[in-house]
Amino acid sequence: MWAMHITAEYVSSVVMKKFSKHLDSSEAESIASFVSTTNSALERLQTRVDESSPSCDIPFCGDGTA
Amino acid sequence: MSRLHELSLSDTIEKIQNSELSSIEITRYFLDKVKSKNSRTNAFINILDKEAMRAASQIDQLSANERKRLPLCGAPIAIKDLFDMQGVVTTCGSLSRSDHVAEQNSFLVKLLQDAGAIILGKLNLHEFGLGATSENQVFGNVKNPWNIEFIAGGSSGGSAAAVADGLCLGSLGTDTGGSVRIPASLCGVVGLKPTAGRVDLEGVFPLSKSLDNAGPLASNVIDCDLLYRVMSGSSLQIHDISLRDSAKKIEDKRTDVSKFSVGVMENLPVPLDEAVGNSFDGIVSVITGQVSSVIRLNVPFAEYYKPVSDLIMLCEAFAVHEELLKSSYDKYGKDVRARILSGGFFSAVEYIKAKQFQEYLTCRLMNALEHLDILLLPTTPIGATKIGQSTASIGVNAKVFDVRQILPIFTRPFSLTGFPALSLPCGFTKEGLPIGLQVVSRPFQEDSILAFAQVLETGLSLRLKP
Repeated sequence: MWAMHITAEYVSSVVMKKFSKHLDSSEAESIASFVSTTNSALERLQTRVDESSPSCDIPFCGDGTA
Repeated sequence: MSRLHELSLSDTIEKIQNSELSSIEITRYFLDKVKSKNSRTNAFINILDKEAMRAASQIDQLSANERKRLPLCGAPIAIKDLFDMQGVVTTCGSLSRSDHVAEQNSFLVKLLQDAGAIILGKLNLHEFGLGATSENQVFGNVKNPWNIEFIAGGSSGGSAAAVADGLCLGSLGTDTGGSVRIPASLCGVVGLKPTAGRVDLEGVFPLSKSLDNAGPLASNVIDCDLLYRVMSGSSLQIHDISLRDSAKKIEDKRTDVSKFSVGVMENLPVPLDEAVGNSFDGIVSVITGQVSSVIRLNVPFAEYYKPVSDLIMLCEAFAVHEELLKSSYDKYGKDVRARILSGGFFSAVEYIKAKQFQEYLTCRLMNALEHLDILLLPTTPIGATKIGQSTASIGVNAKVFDVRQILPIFTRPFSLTGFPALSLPCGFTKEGLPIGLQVVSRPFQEDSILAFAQVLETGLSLRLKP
């Protein structure tokens, strides 16, 4: 995922565009770290899901794949 | 009057219905108590003195038959300040909403008032419901009634602290990732998050529209059940609910509890505080042999529920707040503002993938619980921490965790999947603060949860008072 590679500078630049009057660099770094950590976790989950059984026998959700 | 503090919600309603107590007498008693004791915990942020006394007077003017038809007749309760109440400010615990007067009642407020409840006031919370500690920079921190140096948990901290401290006999909270169950656990009260979609959230300020939920808190299971039945009923059905019916439904189910298959979650994603672990093991020992079977199981992908729900929750929160942030940026608390802003930096693709993971994890959890009536795990891995404390060491290796991150780690799975879950007091930490047990079941099995919790509560004498 591209967002895995988000940097503090990138997040800071986007945030600054929308909230330029207020945001400080520590807030931007905290956001960048959180976004990156969360996306990494989802990447690991995707790998785990790909490795596990693809089918799900619960009727309401089709084949259950992500 | 001196014995009013010993009455439960159900007892109080029954006495008002039977004309043994007046609603005005009860309401005045609790309002006086709130005024004299609230500064200790900071649970209430708006005391609705006139509104409550007016409503109580109306209850007292009803005939005995009319009162008996009201399942919450004269019930002194309070609501988290995310619920709209006509003519009253809904602050959401934020300076950015300090002048927002609600034009209408939220659906749940109307339902409770139609059932005869008296709303004493609005309760403090973590700003906008986004946080597990209820440390609030605007209205002050909610303090734990068991020890005011400790947090009450959140985000419905005021809802739990008010009940635990005897300032009201029941309350409403919201629960997007654990916000009813976490403070219930930390303050030693009962809190229920119903199945997703079970209660109507119209007029409740949203945090994350696809994960938001609301639930009752009370000092015991029967009272929690009574509030839940009113919250989940429609206004047309409301007069079919009575104290007797509510207790009977639980009683009917109680006989089934011995036939229950109970799962115990083994693969908890973080270690447990020693006292939490001991309390949990003690409960498992007690129920073994009292139910049909106790099965230890692994919940699939247990460590991934939190990041998936974080992404969904924060993307949706950013969608709600983007405009308000632009106009009122400095009126947000810094911690909450940073979390909301982070939701703006996930892509649409990432949000959609998280929603697909949500569906997948729901299926896997449904499979895992297919043959179980109940799943048990602690509500939180630790008890309440000190106000301002940001980390906690847990386990034999004293691994350090961020308090804000680990408090909701056991509640998130059931918020993400929409399964019903209840927190029940089950012990104490070494500091003498309450510990909660989380009782979970499959969607729409709230009756099983409540029956099981009531059997445990009765059998273990788990009712607590600070």
